[in-house]
Amino acid sequence: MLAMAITAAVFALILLGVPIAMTLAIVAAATFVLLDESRMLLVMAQRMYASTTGFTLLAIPFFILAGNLMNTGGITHRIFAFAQALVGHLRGGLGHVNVVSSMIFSGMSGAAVADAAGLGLVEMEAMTKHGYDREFSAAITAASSTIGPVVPPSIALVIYGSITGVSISQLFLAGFVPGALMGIALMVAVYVVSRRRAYPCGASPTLALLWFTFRRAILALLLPVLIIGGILSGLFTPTEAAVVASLYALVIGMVVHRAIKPRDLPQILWATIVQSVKILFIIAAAGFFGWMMIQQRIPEQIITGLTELTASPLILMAIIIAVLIALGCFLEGIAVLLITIPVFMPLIDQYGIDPVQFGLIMTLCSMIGLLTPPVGMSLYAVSSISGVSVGALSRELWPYLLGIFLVLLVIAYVPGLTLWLPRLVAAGGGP
Amino acid sequence: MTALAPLWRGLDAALGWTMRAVCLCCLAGLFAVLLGMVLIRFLPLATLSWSSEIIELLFAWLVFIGAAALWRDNDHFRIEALLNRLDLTRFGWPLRLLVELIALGFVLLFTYYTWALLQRAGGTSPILDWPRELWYLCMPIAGVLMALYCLRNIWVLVAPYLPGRNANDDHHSVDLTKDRTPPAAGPPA
Repeated sequence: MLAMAITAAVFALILLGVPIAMTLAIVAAATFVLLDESRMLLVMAQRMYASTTGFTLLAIPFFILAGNLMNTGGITHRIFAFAQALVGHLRGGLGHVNVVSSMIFSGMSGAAVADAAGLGLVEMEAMTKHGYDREFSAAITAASSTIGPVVPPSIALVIYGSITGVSISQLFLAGFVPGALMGIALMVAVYVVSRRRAYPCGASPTLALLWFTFRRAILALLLPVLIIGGILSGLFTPTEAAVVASLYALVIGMVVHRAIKPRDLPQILWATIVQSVKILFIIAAAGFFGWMMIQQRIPEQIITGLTELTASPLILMAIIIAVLIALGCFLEGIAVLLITIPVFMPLIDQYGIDPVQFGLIMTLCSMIGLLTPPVGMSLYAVSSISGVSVGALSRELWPYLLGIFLVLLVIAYVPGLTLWLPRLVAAGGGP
Repeated sequence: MTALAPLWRGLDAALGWTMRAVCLCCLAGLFAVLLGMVLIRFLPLATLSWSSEIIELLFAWLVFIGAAALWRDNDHFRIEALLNRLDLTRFGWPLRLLVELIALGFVLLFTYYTWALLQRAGGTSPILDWPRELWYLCMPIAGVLMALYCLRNIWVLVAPYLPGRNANDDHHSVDLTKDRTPPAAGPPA
């Protein structure tokens, strides 16, 4: 009963237009007041402070900074040119280029909206110039931007790891296969749509062109190697890797490509602060909200309810996915993660589901939420960039959403796919 | 109150500039310290034993003062679909006012309890030997700033309909926000 009242209050305040961070803190505070436990409010400040000053969470602003520096530093154009040389000759060529560019870019930045707003602009300009429908260009840009938070480094996985204590290195390794599967699923969808609409094929690339674009993009392509290699070899923590990635992007942008001027830096840093603080303030409020949920034993009530409903981990997984996707339609992705992690973690523990695999499932579900109205952040970002209405974009997105959903089901029901790489590295003495 | 508008604009600009400057310095400081930590690992000539305390300090100030700066710009994640839809109806104005009052209520609660935490924080940090209050101070400051901007938003909504003012007056006479707040529809006739 209390769980339902809390859920209803969260939904009501968010739909009324109260900021999400504030909603979580208000509902938590109001719960304590209404239950005559006002003394617990003293913990509010402490929980909000402690939840947001953890060292691991520092990776968030610096992965965002790396993405912003690359968007400004001319790296995105080079990635796009390289992807065009690689897959531009397939039917619906620039649609495939869009997906492959996002896959490469996601190895550097962990935020979907950074991909949609930065690389997405380059992608859509090129597609419009080559005669593709604006709706098609916008839809594939929005869909491909969701690969970013799945392929490491990923802000969503950093948040999941910092809250649950699951190794972020393991989570990053587990993200490779789902990210690749998402890319393949989106390319299949692009191919099917392109055949139906008779979109053109590009010219086959020459080896010289491939080599030329590869050389121009090599510094950008080395960045994921630096980040993941540094983390896996124990040289850096994920937070330090994010800082090194930012420095690397800064040096490339300022010294090598000379696309970033010192006067651009305050603007880039401020954009980073805005994007980061939006997330971190929600995390602060969710720290208090999650603590209230545990104090009121709400996860235990939900576990009891669900265990009475089913003993099968497969059915439980289906229920969790349905809940996450439904919540993702109405709440911002990070908020969904923060609200549901304290509820679901004891559950998956009880049902023997691997927490690394579950982290990827939660991330994929929140990615679907990024693309679904009324609260899809990528949907709105791409809509505002492209000028395509949210309604038209949503209609055009269905084939790609279906592809991502199929990948989600595969990841959920074939754990070996996600876990083989972390296990392989662990067997070799890795993290 | 109209005469106070230039004064408010000056204060608002100064606060906005200061909040941005604090956040930019914190981010730049974090970048430098974290980079120093990585470099020092390869040059074991010195240690940054104080780094964890500085990092926590800068991170806390970045997040909470940044949250206040975003509050000033109405830039926190929120879903405005319903608000925007209702703006053209008689429910739009009361709903916006309600949201601002809820926000103000929370911000005051936040300020009170973060101040209480500050009062209880005693002693100094283990390495730098700085007063522990310095770490928590950012929260009540952010609370006060957010409360100030909540009051600004409420004023912008209410001012045109105070006695002696015409609801159809040119909004520039009371627009203290330089177009930062969302457009507000009038109250029910």
